Amino acid sequence: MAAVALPSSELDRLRELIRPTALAVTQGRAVIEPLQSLLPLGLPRGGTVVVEGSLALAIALAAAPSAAGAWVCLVGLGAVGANAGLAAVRELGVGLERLAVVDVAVDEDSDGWVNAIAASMDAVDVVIARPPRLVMARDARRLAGRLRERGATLVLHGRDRAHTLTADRVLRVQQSRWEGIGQGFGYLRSRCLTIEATGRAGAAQPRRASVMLPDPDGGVSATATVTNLFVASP
Amino acid sequence: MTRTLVVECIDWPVSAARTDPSDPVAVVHANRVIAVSRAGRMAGITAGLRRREAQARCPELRIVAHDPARDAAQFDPVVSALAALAPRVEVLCAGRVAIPTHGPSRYWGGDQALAELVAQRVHDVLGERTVATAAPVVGIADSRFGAQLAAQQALGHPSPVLVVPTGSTKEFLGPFPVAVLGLPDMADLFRRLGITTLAQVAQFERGDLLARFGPLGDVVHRLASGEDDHPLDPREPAPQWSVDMAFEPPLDRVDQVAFAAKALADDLLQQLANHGLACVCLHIELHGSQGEIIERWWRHDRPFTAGAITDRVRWQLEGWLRTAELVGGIALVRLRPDHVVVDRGRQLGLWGWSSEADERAIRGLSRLSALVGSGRVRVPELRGGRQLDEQVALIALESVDLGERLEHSLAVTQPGPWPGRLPTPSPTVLHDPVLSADVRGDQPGIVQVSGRGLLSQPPTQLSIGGGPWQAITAWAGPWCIEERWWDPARSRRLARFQVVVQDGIAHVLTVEQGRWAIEASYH
Repeated sequence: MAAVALPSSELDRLRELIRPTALAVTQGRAVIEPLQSLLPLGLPRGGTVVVEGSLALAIALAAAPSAAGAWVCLVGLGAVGANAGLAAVRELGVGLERLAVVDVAVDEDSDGWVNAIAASMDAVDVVIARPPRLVMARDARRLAGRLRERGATLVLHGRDRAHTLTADRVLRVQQSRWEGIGQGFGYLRSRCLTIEATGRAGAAQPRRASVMLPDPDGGVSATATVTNLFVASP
Repeated sequence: MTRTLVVECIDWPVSAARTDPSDPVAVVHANRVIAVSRAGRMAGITAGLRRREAQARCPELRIVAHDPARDAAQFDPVVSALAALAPRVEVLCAGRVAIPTHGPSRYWGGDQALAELVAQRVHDVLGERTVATAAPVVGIADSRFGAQLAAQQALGHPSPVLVVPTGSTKEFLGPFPVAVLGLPDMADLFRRLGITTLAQVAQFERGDLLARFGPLGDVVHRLASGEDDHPLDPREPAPQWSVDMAFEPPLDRVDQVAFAAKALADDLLQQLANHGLACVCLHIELHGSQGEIIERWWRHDRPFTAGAITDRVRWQLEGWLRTAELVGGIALVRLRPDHVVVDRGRQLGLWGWSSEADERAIRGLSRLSALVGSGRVRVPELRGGRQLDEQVALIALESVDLGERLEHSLAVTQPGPWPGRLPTPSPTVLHDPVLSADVRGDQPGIVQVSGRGLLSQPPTQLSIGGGPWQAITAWAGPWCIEERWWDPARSRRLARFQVVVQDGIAHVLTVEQGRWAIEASYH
């Protein structure tokens, strides 16, 4: 049979068809739209995301999985376990009907903490936790293995002192500015966060984005869509 | 139509807990009373009450946790005794069995004679003490549902037996209210449509109910007209669907057997699913290493899941172990589907459906709760309130039935308007207890809010818990709140501020009786 020259558009289409399939396990979990530019591959399954500087950002990462029916667990977040924190959690888009809150003493021993995290990962898909000051290297390895096996995502609010827990993505708040409040007038209306994302394995290139987190409704939105009435002096 | 005898021990979970009959006792599951002793009923406690409310009605009430395994194991002697009277005894749940009466009735000389014999036998097995709490009753009718209601009607009569004559089950069921169907949503809808009794349900054409309510309408019509919920299928389940597993050497631990049964159950359900079938009555056979055999029929009103099958194998084995008939280990487990129905599947609702992830989470969270300690795994529930800590409440996992909670999703709950609450966004961290703080202004003298809500001078610096002074870059307030002024013990009078300090962190500050505190923070 004679070779047939195909137009390049057709070639592209075929290339797309025979492209190696990305299995569901290797694809990341979805993140909400305003954060997509920071995490283009989504939340890694079986990986760890470290968020530095904003608890609201750590919680907002769980919003899209939660909306898709995944369970979320807050472990050892202390005061967030109290109630008003949960009003914020709800506003950020995490459904309360698929949320569990676990109280573990974080600073005492990493052993209890690691056990609680491992057991939470068996139950839920996204675990948001504050790490203890020191995690033993042995425990960190055990945790990473369990995480890969379960395909859950661990979101850490802050890091342990020795950085024993490996981070696949790191989101760091670089600038934070509250809007809507002045000298004796207005109220906390929204916050403009500038976030830098770094990572490894395909996400090594640093990325930067500004988002409204929280926006006036308590959710997350892209900066441009919000008109600012008052701007606090920095 | 299968004429059926039902034996029911009213409030079996209470008698299984082996309590004193004169004590008020309630068995509680997921914070709700599911069974209550006679003394408890006299004190005004009914099934379905919240635990707290039950305790308020009767302070000396003893609360017992629900344990299905205990209930089943305690009930097993009754099943064994009845198995000697009739060839086939179906266990519906702990405390309730059904016996098809076709053969046994002729053998023992009629329905009435059979019912009295069964009542006597149950009485003998349970003994005086348990009979006083369990009150076993017997009913015979043309359907299982009818027999069950007949048995419940017999409660309190001198002879605990009620036989509904052949062919008159429909008339017997007629006057009962629709609530007895055990489908609260359906019953509620019927009532709103003006249909209050089963006679009114039965007078419809079955096709009309099917068209309006789907398969559930069909089932309801069957029950109301004195038929069984699943039409008898002339097709015998194929013998090759029975699955078994032999153990060499024999197993001598219950959990090993249960583990093997789980694999068998998965296997069986997979086979049935391939044919689009589900099992509602299951025959479980256990063989001892010395040739002893125990067999039981288990019937369930919903299709069996693997977990439900494993539980029943476990209960059957535990009941057997109590009789001490078993000397060696368990050599064989056989599961045979006895009554299969077409699996219509379950139409998942748009909201509040439960997925595989939900089942995994429910299992996993209860494990987690066992690991970290009871009361330390909690789930949120929306409340309403003006104060920050009133808007969402956390409830211990043990007191919630997660599956049921998902069914009635709380996504639809509206918190209602609470004028005076902080506007969104809400703070992410709530300090409990509140952090003490100090505030000063540029002028000498303290910063304070007067009774009229006037600020003495603008706040410019903040110190948290005696720490270093931080500059306040922006602030708003005071918002004065006066709550429950009618109740001196609980009244509060405070003023609230929002402040932003230099590193972009915002706090909710309160001043109450001249003391400053940080109530919450935005991180």
